[in-house]
Amino acid sequence: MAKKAFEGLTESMYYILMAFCKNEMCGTDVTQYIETKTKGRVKIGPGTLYTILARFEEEKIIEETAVEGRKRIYRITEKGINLYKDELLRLKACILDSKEGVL
Amino acid sequence: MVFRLLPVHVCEVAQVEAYFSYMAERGLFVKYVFGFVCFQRGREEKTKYHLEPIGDVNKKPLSELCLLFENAGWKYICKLSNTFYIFKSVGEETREVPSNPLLQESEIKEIKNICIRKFLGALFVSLLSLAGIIYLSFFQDYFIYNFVTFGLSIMLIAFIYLGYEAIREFQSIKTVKLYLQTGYIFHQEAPFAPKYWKIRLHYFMVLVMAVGISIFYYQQFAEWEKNLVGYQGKSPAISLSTIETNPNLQIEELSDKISFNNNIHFKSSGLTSEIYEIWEEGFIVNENGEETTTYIDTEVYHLRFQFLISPFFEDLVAYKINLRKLDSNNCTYLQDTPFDQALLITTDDGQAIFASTGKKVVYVYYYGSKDLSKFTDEIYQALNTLN
Repeated sequence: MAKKAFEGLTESMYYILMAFCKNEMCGTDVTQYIETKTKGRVKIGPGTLYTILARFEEEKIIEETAVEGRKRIYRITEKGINLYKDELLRLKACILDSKEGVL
Repeated sequence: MVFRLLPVHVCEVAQVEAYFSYMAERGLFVKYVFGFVCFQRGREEKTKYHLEPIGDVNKKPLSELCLLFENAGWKYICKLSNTFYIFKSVGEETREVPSNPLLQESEIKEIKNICIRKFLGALFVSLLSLAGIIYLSFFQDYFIYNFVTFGLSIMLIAFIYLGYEAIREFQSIKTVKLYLQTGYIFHQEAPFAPKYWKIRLHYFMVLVMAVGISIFYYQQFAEWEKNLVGYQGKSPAISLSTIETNPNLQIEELSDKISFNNNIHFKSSGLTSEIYEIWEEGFIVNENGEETTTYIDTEVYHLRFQFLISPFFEDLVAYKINLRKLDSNNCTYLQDTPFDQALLITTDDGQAIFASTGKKVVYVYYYGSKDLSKFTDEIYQALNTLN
């Protein structure tokens, strides 16, 4: 059965894309970046990270640029950037909506 | 090396992790899992374990995943049931590594598939035995007789146990799956103490069934039939010549083929260790050269359980009365015999004796002119040739 294309990004996916928008990096760097960025609020387990990276690579959202020993370095693709931008717009819209809200 | 059965279900992730930690505190560290969990002895220390679902993607390369875990202070140990990687904490600076519940759920789905395959296997065995039981209950009048002689007891045990196990496992996986779908992350809050009795019972039952089924198939191979004329082996039946003392009695000559009229047949079942069917036929030539046929048909059942004797005896009598069209009104309970119970039924053509002693039941049908009831001692002695 074919896998579904991404219909929406989870919080973990969003932060991983954010990390790659910053720079090319390996999985360990991604984890550290996210922890620093969110001050430890978002924690991504290695298993989850590994699965998301593999899925992103399969969907050509990121691509491998180098292998250093057991480390694999990835960078974001054009498709990945667009996906990140769309999500960012959606989140901004959510924030605007909430400003006009009841609270 | 120390080998232990995993006392909790693989789906109970937090409990499995807690179990490994519990063992580590006692100086036993997981080395590999291959049906059994193999522990290596070491210095007792508090160790955390983490089960990471393998998932679809992770089945290929492991090195990068290991690196990510190592950076978080975890070391890869081995696989568990091809569905989880086992990691153990190294040093004191171990970071928590939350697993993705959705990924766990997909792994549980894999376990569920295995469970479904097991369930279908169990269902197949169960349906076979159920069909046998229904057939004997509704389409045959002599349930106990057929049940004992066809040896469906193993099937019945398999039906009850496998059905129960499959349903229980299915329900347990369903519950865990439901939790994971809602994003629930498992924690083991109370101190964990393993209870092995459930898993031991499970394997004991599996062993019993495996032995039972092996015996069942061995018995099919152990079945034999031989010509009675010239047969030198054990026979729990009196011969025709014991009753018919007429010197003109002739037993059918031995031929190359199994004789229909003079043969001994042996088989056994789950509930009977020995079943003998012996048919001996001969003829007597009188002074005018006329032939008179005479025969003796003996069936001996050596049951495995005493409690089956009474219902089996009753069913056997009912079955033979119907089969041989015996008149149940000509029925006499024989007294002063060495048997626990003995019953004589006479007809115009012959006589039938049903008797039991200990776990043995014998049925003798004699077609001839002599009085069969006078030979109960001989029948008893012949029966005692069985151990």
